[in-house]
Amino acid sequence: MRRAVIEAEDLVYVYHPGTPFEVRALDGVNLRVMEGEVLAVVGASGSGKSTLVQHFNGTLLPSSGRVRVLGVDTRQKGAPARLWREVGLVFQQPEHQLFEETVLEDVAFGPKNLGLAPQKARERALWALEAVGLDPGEVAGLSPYSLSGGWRRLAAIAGVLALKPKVLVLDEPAAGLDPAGKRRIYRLLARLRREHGTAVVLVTHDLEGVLGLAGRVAVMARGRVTAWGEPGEVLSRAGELEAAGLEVPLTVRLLNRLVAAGVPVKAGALTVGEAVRQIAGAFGLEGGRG
Amino acid sequence: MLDAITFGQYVPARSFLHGLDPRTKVLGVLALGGSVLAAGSALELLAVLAVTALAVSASGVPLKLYARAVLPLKYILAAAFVVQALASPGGQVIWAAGRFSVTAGGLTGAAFVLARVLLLLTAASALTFTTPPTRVAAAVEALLSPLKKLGVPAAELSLAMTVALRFIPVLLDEAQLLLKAQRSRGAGAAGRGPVKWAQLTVSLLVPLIAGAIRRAEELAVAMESRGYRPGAARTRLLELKMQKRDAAVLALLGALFLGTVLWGG
Amino acid sequence: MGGRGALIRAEGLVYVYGRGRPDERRALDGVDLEVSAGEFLALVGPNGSGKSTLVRHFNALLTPAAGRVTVAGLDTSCPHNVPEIRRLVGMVFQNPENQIVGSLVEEDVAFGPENLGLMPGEVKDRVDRALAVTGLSALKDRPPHLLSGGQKQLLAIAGALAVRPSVLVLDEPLSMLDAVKKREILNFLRALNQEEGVTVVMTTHSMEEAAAAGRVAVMAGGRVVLEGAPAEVFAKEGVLEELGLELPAAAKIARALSRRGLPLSPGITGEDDLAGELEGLWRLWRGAARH
Repeated sequence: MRRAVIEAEDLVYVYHPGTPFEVRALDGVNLRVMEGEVLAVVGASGSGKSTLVQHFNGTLLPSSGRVRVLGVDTRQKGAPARLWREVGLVFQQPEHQLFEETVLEDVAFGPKNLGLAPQKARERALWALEAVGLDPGEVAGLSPYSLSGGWRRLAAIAGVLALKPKVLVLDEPAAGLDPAGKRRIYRLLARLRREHGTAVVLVTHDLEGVLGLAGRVAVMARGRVTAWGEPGEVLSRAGELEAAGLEVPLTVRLLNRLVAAGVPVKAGALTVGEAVRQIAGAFGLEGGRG
Repeated sequence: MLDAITFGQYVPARSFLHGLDPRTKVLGVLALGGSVLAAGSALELLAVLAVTALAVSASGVPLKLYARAVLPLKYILAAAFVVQALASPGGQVIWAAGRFSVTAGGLTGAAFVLARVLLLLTAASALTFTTPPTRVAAAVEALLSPLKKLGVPAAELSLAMTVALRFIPVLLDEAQLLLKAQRSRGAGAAGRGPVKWAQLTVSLLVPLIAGAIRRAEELAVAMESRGYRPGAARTRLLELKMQKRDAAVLALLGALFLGTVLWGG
Repeated sequence: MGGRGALIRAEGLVYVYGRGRPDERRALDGVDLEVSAGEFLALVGPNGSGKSTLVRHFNALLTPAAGRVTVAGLDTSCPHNVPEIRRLVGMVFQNPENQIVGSLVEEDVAFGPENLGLMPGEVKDRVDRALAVTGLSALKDRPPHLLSGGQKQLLAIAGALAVRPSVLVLDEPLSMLDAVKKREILNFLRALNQEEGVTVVMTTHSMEEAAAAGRVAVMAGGRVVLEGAPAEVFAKEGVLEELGLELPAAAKIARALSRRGLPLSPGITGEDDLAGELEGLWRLWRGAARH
């Protein structure tokens, strides 16, 4: 039985409390991240998803309610000072956070702060660079500013991966990348889960990218989780997705239309491949699912 | 999200001060500031205080916000008060401990310093609360434009000021995000020694500055694309027009300034 | 080859970055392209294909190393043509934040007209019109940092439209926005093109976005390798795949079904086409099955 690595209970977070600029960003969130899973948190901008995940490593502490990471309440004294080691948080556009003279030194920043000796920290950095798919021989000695956008982002992710956290949380990791860049990121995340058993929490508004990657999806709107479960189930609720300000994936819309026209396909959020098999099956074609 | 709470931020409202030409207000702050510094006696400071109080009440902005503008500086002000009290001797001794003594003269001096700083801050706040940043920039540009003949690039300075003001909240947000990100990699966590603190500072400053330069480059390209050419003649959406009330205010503040300069020593 | 109504023309355009330096590279390697008045052209290509470099020649931000670019007949390499060219061609960039100059929405939109030296009354008219067209009138007194990403991009567009350009060029304008915002702004651009007659040129790496245009030009390695209506270009799946360009989901599904023997039209670009054809085929199938 898998245990929960992160638990949020009735989590409420208010920005600027008691001022005219007060904003209730999280309005009672209940959520669990299970060991080794890939959880996608999806929502439109302003839904609170970034605010939520910043509670997972103690960057933010609840206004009310509770967040437990590996069993420890984040409000416990000294907890945030330790949490960053267990939960690695990659913020939006992380490529803008690089600052050291060489890529290797920047990726080694985290390991050094963990207390690793310089040599060990560098080894860990080399490992992390390879793990994200960069060639250390090529990039290690370069200045971070001389890498192209997509590669800089991978280097920034390596910097957090180098902490070898139990949970990796990424806020919009594929935003602004071209299709090849997006594919690289999603393949990386799938590999991390497969090869290292790292739990991955992925914040995104790109529903199509999430299909086939996430084991579970949580939909957020106006500071609450409005749906939580398997992607096939959750992402096929077109009405709810639209109410949450999200664009319904094409496969869902297409299959819904075909069902309405009497075609015997199973409606549900599916990847392109699965949709093709469904339709092929309905038409009695080769490679279809009868 | 420090978005809305920015130092000296404009408070939209309708008031006497809001309706004044921004040039009047800029000159007014200078005159008021000059008066504060030139005031030599308690009587003069009281006069300046009276005028400042008038300005505050005419600004339509609650006293609470003026207090908020001063609050962040409370430690500095307290320190200045103490230093002044200890440093300037004169008159009877009120309290003594070892080498340090506080005299009546010292206390009066400290009170003066505190009063001056508070009056200056209040006057500056009255300006920024009632005038949107671009209008302040327009006023500065208009006031400096006679100096164009001497080679002062008034319009360019004004534009630089506007752009800087517009990006302050953006840079503040970015700094906050950077802080969170570097802390999430353990920066400044392991022990609080000066080395670690320096490391945290570098990890914040380098990306902030690099980011600011990147923004400046992109902004310059966007500005050029919208037809901007440094040195070319530009018009302004908002025209500045002086009215009778502006003349009255300038006269009052001008008189105050002259009064404090000429009165006594 | 010259056409009537070719507003922008690039002939044999070559551009080199870092001339003389070790990292010198040919970003544009002989581009011939025309933009006709009133059209909506999408320039698609992966990162490094040269599309951003190309469009920066359209308002003379860059000038050719070899070849020629003309805007309404004006040569871009002639410095005194530049002010007029920048009045004819407005440009919007990828990052909404770094295009906004003013500290209030209204003041930012005024920046362009102010640069033209228009009288304050005329500036106000232009600003009001641009805000109305982009739907931002209610926000005119707001500081830009309080706007959402989508609103900021609309503000950048309003600022470009305020000089009444004939052509609006947008360089990857949607890549930092979420899906719903992307669709809204894309619809806005189509309406702007169809109803106000503004010529629109948009670069993107998304074939899905390109499907909204009237004509698509695909770039790779500094050259235009494919050109035509979206359906024509989508039909050349082999080329697109080689270039690493991802077909939209509808096109991918259509292609896979065609390979399995379903008689779908080549070059299906979107959901409506695909659903319509599948529904039609289904009715035929059912009809045939009954006999």
